[in-house]
Order: sequence, then structure tokens, then C-alpha cells
Amino acid sequence: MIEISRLNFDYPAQPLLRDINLSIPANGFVAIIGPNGAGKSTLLKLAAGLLAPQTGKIYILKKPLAAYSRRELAKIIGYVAQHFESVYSFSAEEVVRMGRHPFLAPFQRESAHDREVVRSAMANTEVWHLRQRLIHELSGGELQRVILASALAQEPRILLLDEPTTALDLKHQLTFYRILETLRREKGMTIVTVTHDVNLAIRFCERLVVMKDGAIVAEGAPGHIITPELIKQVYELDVEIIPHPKDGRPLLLL
Amino acid sequence: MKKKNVLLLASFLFLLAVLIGAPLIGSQSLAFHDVLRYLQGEQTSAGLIFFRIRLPRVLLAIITGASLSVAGVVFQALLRNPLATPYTLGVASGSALGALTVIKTGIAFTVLGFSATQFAAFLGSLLTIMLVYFLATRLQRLSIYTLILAGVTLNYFFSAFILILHYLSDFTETHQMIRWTIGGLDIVAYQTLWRSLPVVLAIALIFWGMGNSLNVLSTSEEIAMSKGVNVPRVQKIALLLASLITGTVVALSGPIGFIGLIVPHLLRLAGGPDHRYLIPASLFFGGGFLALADTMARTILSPIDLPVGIITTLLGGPFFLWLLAGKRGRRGRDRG
Repeated sequence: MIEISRLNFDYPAQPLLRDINLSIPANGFVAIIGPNGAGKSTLLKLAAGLLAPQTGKIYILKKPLAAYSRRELAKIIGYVAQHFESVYSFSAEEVVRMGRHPFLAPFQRESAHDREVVRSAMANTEVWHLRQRLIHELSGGELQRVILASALAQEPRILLLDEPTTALDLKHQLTFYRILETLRREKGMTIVTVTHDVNLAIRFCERLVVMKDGAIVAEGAPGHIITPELIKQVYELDVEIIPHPKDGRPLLLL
Repeated sequence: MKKKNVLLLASFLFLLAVLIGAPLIGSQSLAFHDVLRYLQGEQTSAGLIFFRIRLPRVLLAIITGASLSVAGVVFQALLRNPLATPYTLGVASGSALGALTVIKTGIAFTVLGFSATQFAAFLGSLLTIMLVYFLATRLQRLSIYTLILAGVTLNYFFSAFILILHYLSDFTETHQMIRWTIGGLDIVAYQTLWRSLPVVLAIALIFWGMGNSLNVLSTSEEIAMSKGVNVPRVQKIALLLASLITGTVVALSGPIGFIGLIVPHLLRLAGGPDHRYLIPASLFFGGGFLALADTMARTILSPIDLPVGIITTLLGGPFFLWLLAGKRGRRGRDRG
């Protein structure tokens, strides 16, 4: 689905990513984890085409990312940002409808199909009952699900999420990941999420990408790569790891 | 019918009412049936006044009001700031510099039916657009922040030159300059209208089609990009066209204030920030609104003709007071 090879990226005042090679398979559920400043969000933005690398290549569905127009790319990749800032008070439904933008020509209004896609996206994320509410009035959890619905309305094959649950309470974090897992299963989506919650990532994702200081230090199934040594190396923390009672995957105890 | 559509229809009807009703009002009230008789061939004085004197002025008011309002909507979307105006990027000062220079030097000529003042004002606005763009892209990476900064910079530069002009002018010249700066819709020939109309219509139409993109762009650049908006291209086109439409009407009537701020604000409070509604509504309502204000300007101190810029500026203060008092429309208050 996504192939990244020999990618380097610097911000204007700050060098960051060095020689990144990464391959995300179709229908995968991958989490990118690592300490702050590791370059996780940057890598995600590069994969989403929101930033351009200095060197290296990114392929989406076997085609170079640069060869896609913005519209074409938006029909394939749905990007869920960490924050949704809007000066103007759109309603939840209006925000989700923005996801249909890549499908609408100038002057064109939404068709019945567009409206159905919007409704379905909001139903899947359990926010349809909030559709008339203004986004500034929504709670963190509700807003996050609306943003997800907006990305789903693009009918993407790939979902890229940047720390989508950081501001959510425990229950909503779990709900959110369950929704993602359902989407993956039922719609065949490929999902890559950057997250700070290592335990949640281990629970839901079959593959982890561990980053530190602009490089990928480990990659693979949680059961294979998550060891106390790795956590110590990456997070500089001593942890106990036990098998999770429900699925046997590693569970980090602080 | 959805609220937005109701408001849109209401705006259009408002415009029609003003278009037909405003020319009837003035120092001399006109009877509608007298005007009708003129249309049927009879040379009534009412008909003459309606069509030769008042209607062109009302049409100019509508075109100006519509242009400034839609430019206001677009600037507020692009700059992501509900307090942005068509003059935020300095187009009005550049235009003023052109016009005031002509007034000072007393040059007189006509180009394509436009007076020297109008022509110089338009050149001034074009110069401003180019300079803003140059400053914002060459000196820094183009961003909304650098654009605003460039606009502010130019505003200061131009204001300084204008002060010098004022200082060097005698009373007559200064008086003329100030009158221009207030902004007024003096009697204008149909010719001028027809020549300016294509530009205004074309730009208005393009904006109408950009409603979807402007919605997304008004949230953030990152979100807009991720939803398929070619951000740099849309920004450049929208900025250029909004500045152009502003420069056009400012060249004709001077920098009439507050329309580009009040109309978008009111419409957004009433019907929300969906630009597919905001843009056409601002065209209809903004046009009717300024024509109405101009009718007030013509009649309040009748037979004295006040420049409409005075009326709009008078409305500005109470408008902001009303905003400050926290009165909320259905949509509540926008952030920032």
C-alpha cells in the first residue's frame, strides 16, 4: 500500500528523518510509536503528502506520491489530524461533508450518494445524532469522531491518524480503536496510527514501528519486538512486561 | 426549505426590492406608475429621473456593495479571520495613493471612458497587489501571516506618502482628496458601469464556484490539503481576484468602509459559514445593503447629498458595539 524508501526530511531549522525505509501492507493496522521528537507525526505527514521529503521516494499503491494530484490523493488517503482548528462555527455535518470535497466539481452540490456517504460515515463513528451541533460545542471525544467521519467520507483506502486519542478519556480511547478495527475488517482499510499509548497499540495493531531520533529502531509484531530492552533503549524507562490475560500480547507495566 | 436557502432567497428578493424601490426615493419622490408610463414610451420626468439619474447610481451601489461584500467573505475565509476586510492587504491605500496623486497634480485625461482619477486609483491597486505578493513570497515563505504583514507594511508606506501629499496640497486639493477618501457613489454614466460589470461578474461567478474549496480552506491549510484542495493555487487565485474586484470598485467610488466587514459578519451570524451560501448571499445582500445606505445618504439631509461612506462608517461603530455586547445569532460567535 505505502512504500517509503531512503527518505530524508528536514524542517527549515531542524534536521529530522534519516534514511527511513518502511513498507505498509494492504489491510494492515500499524502503529508508529516512540518518544516525543522522534519524527512520528512528520513521517505520517510525509506519507499523507502534506510535506515533501528532501530525498527519497514515497509510493502509494505502487505509484509515486508526487504523481498524484491533490484530489486523487484525497480519494485514497484520509488524514486525521491531532487537532481540528476552525475559526468558523461549522456544524458537525458540514465538517463531515468537507470530506466529499475531492468528489465535487466547482458549483456542484452534494448528490444523494454524497449525502449517504456522509450519513454512513457519521453512523459508523456514532456521531450522526450530533450532526446539527456546532463543532465548538462538542466534547473532545465527539469532535475526534467527527474528524474521523470527515476522513471516512473521502472513502479512502488508507487512513492515517496522528495521535487521535491523546485528548480522549479511557472509554473513548477504547471506543475509537474499536471503530478503527471494525473499519479495517469490514471495509478492508489500511490503517496507520501514530500514538503515545503503547499498550493500546499493542492490543489492536498487528505491527508496530518504533522510532527514535528520526530513525526506525524496530519494526514487527508486538510479541516479537516489545522487550524491556527495547523500551529502555527508546523511552529510557524501566518496565515490567507480562503477557496480557486476554490475548497474550505484551503488556507494559510502569 | 433549509434556513440557508431561505436566507439566500430573502437576500435576492431584498436586492430586487431595492433595485426597483431605491431609485423612486430621493429629494423628489417618484411615483411608480409614472415610471411605468415612461417605459411605455411617454417622456415623463419621473421616468427620466429614474432611468437617467437615479438608476445608474443605484446600480453602481449594488455593484460596489456586492463586490466589497464578496471580497470581504473571501478575505475572511483565506486569512481565517472574521475581522479581515477587503482593505486588509493594503489595496485601498495603494488605490488612494494613485487617486490622490492625480488630484494633487491636476492631471486630466480619460482612458476607455474612465477618468484619470479612476484610472490612477486602479493602477494603484494593481501595484499594491503585485507588491504584496512580491513581499510575501520573495522575502519569506508565502503564508497567511506573511501576507498580512506585507499588507500592513504597504499600508504604512502608502499612508506616509499620502500624508506628504496632503501636506503639500492647498485647501481645494485637500478637500477633494478627503472627499475621495470618504467614498461616494456620485452620478456615474452607464458606460462606466457596463465597462466595469464584466470584471465584477466574472470574478463573482468564479468565487461562487469556489464555495466548497473555501469552506475547507477556512479551517486550516493542512486539513484543506488532506481533502484535496490545491492550497497554494486556490490561495493565489482567490487573493488575486478578491484584490482585483476590490481595486475595481475602489477606483470608481473610493474606499467605502465597513461593507466588506459588516455584510459577511451578519450573513454568517444568520446562516452559518457555508461559503456556498455566504458568497451568493453576500452578493445579493451586500448590493442591496449599500444601495439602501446610499438612499439614506441621498435623503437624510435632503437636498444635500451625503457621500455613502459616511453612512457606512456611522454604521460601523454601533455594529461593533452590538458584537461586543455579545448578542448571539443562531450560529453563536466565531472564534478569534
